[in-house]
Amino acid sequence: MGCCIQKLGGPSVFPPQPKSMGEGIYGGGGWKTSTGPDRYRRSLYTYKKRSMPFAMHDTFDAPSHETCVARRDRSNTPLQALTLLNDKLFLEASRKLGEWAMTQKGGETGIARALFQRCLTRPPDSKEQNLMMNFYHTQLARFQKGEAKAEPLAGKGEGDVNHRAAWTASGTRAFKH
Amino acid sequence: MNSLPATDPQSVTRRHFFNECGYGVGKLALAGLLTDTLGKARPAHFAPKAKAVIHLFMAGAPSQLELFDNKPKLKALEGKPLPPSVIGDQRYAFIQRDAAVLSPRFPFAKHGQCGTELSDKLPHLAKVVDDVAIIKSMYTEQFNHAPGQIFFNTGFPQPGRPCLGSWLSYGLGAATDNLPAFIAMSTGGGISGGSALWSAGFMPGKHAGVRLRNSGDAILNVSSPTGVDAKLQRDSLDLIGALNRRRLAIENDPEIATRIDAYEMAFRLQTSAPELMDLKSERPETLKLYGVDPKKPSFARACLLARRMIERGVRCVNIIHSGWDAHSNVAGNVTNNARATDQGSAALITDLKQRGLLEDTLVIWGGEFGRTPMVESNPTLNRKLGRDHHPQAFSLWMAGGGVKGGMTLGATDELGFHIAERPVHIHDLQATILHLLGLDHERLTFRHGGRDYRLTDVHGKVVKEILS
Repeated sequence: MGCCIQKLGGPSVFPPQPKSMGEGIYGGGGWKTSTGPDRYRRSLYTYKKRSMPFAMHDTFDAPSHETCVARRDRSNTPLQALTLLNDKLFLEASRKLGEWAMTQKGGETGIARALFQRCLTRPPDSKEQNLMMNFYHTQLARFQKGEAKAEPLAGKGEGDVNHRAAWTASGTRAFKH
Repeated sequence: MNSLPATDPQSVTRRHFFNECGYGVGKLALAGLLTDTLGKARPAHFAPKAKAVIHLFMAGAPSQLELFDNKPKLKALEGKPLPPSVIGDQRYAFIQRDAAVLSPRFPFAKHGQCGTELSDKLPHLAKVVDDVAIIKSMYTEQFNHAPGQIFFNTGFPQPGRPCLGSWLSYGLGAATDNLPAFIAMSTGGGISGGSALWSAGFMPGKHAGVRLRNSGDAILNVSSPTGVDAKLQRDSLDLIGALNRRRLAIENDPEIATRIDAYEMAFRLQTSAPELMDLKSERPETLKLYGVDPKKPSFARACLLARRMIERGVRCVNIIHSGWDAHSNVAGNVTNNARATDQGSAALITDLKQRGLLEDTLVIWGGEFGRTPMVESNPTLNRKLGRDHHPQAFSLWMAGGGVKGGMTLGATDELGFHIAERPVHIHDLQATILHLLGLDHERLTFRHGGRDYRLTDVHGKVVKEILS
């Protein structure tokens, strides 16, 4: 299924974030990106440091732990959009989603429906379904014609790489909107 | 993802009602007031003198005695302790109260029409001193770096409050759709105040300073990941936009409209951030003026980028240059840091002026506190000929944006220890900065935790003498 590791407890972990996060940080940052399952723990376990909050937590309004908050802000910012579109962690999750999509039944329509439901916890309506299918077919055709390269997006995995890339792209977009 | 169960969309729960409806209804009511959800421009309280701020924050606390505040009397007292009547019960971070006096390390000379005295470590500032107001009578209560820096930037010594740039973003919004309203950069060593210096504190995250980075993506995640070409990115945004517009039509939640805008701005940032960073269009004379190697990150390059940001409508740029903490060898420290910052800071004034931007851009240069007239010397820590932290008196300068040029405000006593004339507290400075931007510091409030907060807490008086 997905990448998130459900293990409870243990020391803090270091999910991937760009090296430049260490710029201007007292003591240099010293972020040693975790490998293996520790890369995919719940964000509760992500290492915290006063002078260098985890980039994604900051971007998504995580309280700084310095003052009590009755309600966490839920802002909508361009930085969040950039994170969802381009961050490595989301790309890795999208690939998993692409792989998962390939195991679903019901043909293309069934898969698109399952993907949508998985990300948004509700089925698409017919218009949404059409938008998804159009996107999927456009990208699939581009991968098949070699107009865009499938493997850099989909990574290595089971099944036809072009289909997997097209589902990776569709899945990514579904859970970002 | 494993733990998210699929829910039946037909079952409307109590939680759904409060989340989606109550909140949504409240937001609809607010929508008229907050049409600027991405921070579009808002009117000031009164006509502003400055439209934008470039804050050159000299973290670590530069020695005023080696740069701005000439105290020849210290030479006569060198090696002797200061009278206890002067020091009182002041505590220091490292030195004892009986530490000996250290004379100024560098010669001073008068410059410009105004005849302002500067040390020989500021040859570039000397050329633009007629555009600069120096305040020699700054003071603060904080005598350690992290609280001092956080106090200077947020008006409170502990983390958790919005910084100056956040207040400006909140108060005035952005003047551009292509770049963030508030950008922070770091060009020196580690910053002890940490991310609190550009944090929005208890304000919404959209008011936080966006870090412009020296390596990798200038703004985090501004480049598309491997395997995503331009068409896939554009098609994706169109799909996301279409899906979001469909939901907006059904739910009528203005946050969805904000989300659509956020994605569009993210797409524009993918072009505007690299364009901002690309210095190819800068004339060779300009690069020479700043002393910039376009490929190498430096304080001067950050200053040049700051001018480019101001031209493009950024409201507040905070360049944090950390490294002035001269506990040992104050002469070497000031020489190195002045070399790193003097030309860029002065070039910024010249360049802004040439382009007609100085009159509505406020430039501020200074650190979190000053340094002691007494020497710091500690064989165990291998320190000699340094100066400790001195909150009672320090200097900083401001230029442009409604500030009188060629003036000096305030003075310290002949030992450089206490303020002798016109004390200016950090809250006074903050009140003045807001005033220059057309904001009344007593009216610019944000409600949090059941009360209204200000950048200046319950203090601060505008420093009228430096207003042009």
